[in-house]
Amino acid sequence: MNLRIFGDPVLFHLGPVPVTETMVSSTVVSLLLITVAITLRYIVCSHPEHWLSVVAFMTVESFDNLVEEIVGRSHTVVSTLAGSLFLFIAACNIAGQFPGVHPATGSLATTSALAVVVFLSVPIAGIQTNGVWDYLKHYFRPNPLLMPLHVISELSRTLALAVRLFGNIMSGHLVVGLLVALAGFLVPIPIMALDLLIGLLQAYIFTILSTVYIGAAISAVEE
Amino acid sequence: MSPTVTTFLFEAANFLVFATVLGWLFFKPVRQAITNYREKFEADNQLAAQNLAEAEKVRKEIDDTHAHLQAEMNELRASELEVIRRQADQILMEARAAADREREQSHLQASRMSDVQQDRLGEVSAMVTAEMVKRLLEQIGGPDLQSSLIQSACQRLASFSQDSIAPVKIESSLPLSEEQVTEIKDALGSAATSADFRMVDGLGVGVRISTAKGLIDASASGLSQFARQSLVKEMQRQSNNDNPNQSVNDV
Amino acid sequence: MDDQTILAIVAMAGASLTMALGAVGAAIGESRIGAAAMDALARQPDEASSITRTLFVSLAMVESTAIFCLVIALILLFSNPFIDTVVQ
Repeated sequence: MNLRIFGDPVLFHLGPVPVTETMVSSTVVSLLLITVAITLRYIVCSHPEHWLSVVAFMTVESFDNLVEEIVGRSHTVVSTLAGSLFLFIAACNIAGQFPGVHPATGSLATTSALAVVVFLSVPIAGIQTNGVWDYLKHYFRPNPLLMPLHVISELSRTLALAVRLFGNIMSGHLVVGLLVALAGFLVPIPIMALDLLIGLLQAYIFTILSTVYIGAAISAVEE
Repeated sequence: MSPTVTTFLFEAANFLVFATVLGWLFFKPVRQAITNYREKFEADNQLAAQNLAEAEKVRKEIDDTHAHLQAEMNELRASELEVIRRQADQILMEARAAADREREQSHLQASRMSDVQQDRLGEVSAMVTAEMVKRLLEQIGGPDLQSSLIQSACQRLASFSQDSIAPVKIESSLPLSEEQVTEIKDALGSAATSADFRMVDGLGVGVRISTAKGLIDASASGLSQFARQSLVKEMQRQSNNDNPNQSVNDV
Repeated sequence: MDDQTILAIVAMAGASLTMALGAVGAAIGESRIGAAAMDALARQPDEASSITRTLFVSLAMVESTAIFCLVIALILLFSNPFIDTVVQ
């Protein structure tokens, strides 16, 4: 039994760059999603009354509403980021349910990359909304002594974001693999169903938490 | 480069590219479409509200017109009714007048008819009376009646002035006796010379003496004629005295 | 008992302890969340969708502590960073 928990098998080398399985699966998922999105966009532009365009409307509307609810105002960039996060993570998690597919989110490198993107977009959003000085001042409030705690909390929540997603997806995958190895065919189906739920839930949580972090940075001065 | 770092960097880049592409190719146009849809919806809503207001206005207008027409119609109906009532009244009055006229006419006719009948009745009764008087006189007739009649004629003759009564004609149906002739001649006096005695049918008893001053009819036929004439005169006087309307109402 | 065996024993014990304590904490937390959610649902059935959404998010966040423990245990067991020093 080959338990892959932290390492990614390198499939081939593209020049000096090693191409891992995670990269391939995430690329495939991204391309699939982009294809679907372009198709939906074409349908939206050509047949606005088609049910698929209604699906697209609902998708975009739900993310916009989510961001408006959490941030307090509508913010297209944030909602685009949140929607992309949710769609990518959910697609990766669902793709992990297919046999032989290694989910991209089951790799700590991917989840930490996503978490770092969120981590970086927090100050970017804060600075863009409030200006550098105002944004930096909010680290020293309510007391300058709390500045290290602010920084640590930002770092730790990024770590938690990464590890939570990774742990959930990886453990679900691991449990399914163990069950297949121990009990055999068809036995892990309930666990796989739970994994499906957990995957969607984790994608939702990741999206919500990143939106909350970014929204907190946007409205940091107003507090 | 280690595979983990490569994967990390690649995933970060992959996600950023993915988010950008999705934002540009999916979120932005769909958001635009949603905005367009909302605008269209809003415009449709506004148009519908406008149409509704217009329809409301038109309905109000129609209602007004309807009410107006209704009022006009009521007015027209009332005036028509008034005209019809007046016409009916007129017709009724005319009919009543015609009926009155008719009634009056018929009353008049009836009264005239009654008058005519009365006249005829009078005439008949007069004729009957005359006949009866004549027959009575004939029945009681005889030499006494003859002589008394001649005596009365003579008395009347004596009232005339004797100069101017000539020529005198004495007519009788029955033959006159000598005494009677002399009696008449005495009464005539000076005119007795020109007296002309004749026999005439239809006189009955008595004599008829015609003089230049007048006729003295002392015969049965003359008496009956006199009775008839006086009867007719009496009846005419009575009918003239009667109130015609009262007689009509009595009918 | 060489160092490798000691390390293996300690790693397994640490992983078991981590997993056990983490699971206990997460279980207690999740049970409290479930009870509170049921209470809230009984009080306000109209807010069922919002409560359910918050419940799932809270459950996942609490669950993540157990997942952290699982990750630590797995690190201890399968990719122990000290194995190199011991092997050397």
